[in-house]
Amino acid sequence: MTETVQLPTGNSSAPFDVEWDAGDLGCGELLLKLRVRLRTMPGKIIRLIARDRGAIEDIPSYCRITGHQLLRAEPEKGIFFIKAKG
Amino acid sequence: MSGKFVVSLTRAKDDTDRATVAFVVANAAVASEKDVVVFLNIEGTRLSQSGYADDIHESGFAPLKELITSFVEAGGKIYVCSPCFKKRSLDEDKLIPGAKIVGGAMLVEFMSEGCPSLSY
Repeated sequence: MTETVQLPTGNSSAPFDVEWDAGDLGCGELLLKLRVRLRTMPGKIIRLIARDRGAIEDIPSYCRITGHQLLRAEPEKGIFFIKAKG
Repeated sequence: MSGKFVVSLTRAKDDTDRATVAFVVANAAVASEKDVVVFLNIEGTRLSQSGYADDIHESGFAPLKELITSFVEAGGKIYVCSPCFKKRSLDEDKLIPGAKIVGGAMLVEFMSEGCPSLSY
């Protein structure tokens, strides 16, 4: 299913291992660069800042497709906590 | 057979015939109880803006605004290509009901288990 799900929300300053401010990157460019980072940090948590409007829907989809775990998100701020698979 | 169906639409006022027929077919799909996404991309992203389609009425078809409204009210979904939207400096506050700005992953996920598609 690709219905929009209610993203887990929480403290945007929760613990993380790596932070990446992707700025206005979106769509394929954002996902490819995110993929590179996630591959280098199995089991760790990245705090992603992505301001592209499409990221609100895309990051949860990307995590469902790839198996990375979206721990929490504050979509209105463009903040996503993702635990890399592995 | 997959219950999903995608109509990719790259045109707007540059080809109102294609834009109209895309939504006619999308309405046929949603009426056939398919889970339907119209993917607005390239120039098609302009149709995501409230008021843009108001003056598009191809001979022999219902007005485009009516077709879009019917589609959404029947449960159809409209995905709007994020980079195409950004490139054209369109306005998030003017999105029509049912339209959602998405990147590629959302579309890939929707289509990933096999999904017929048409492109206009």
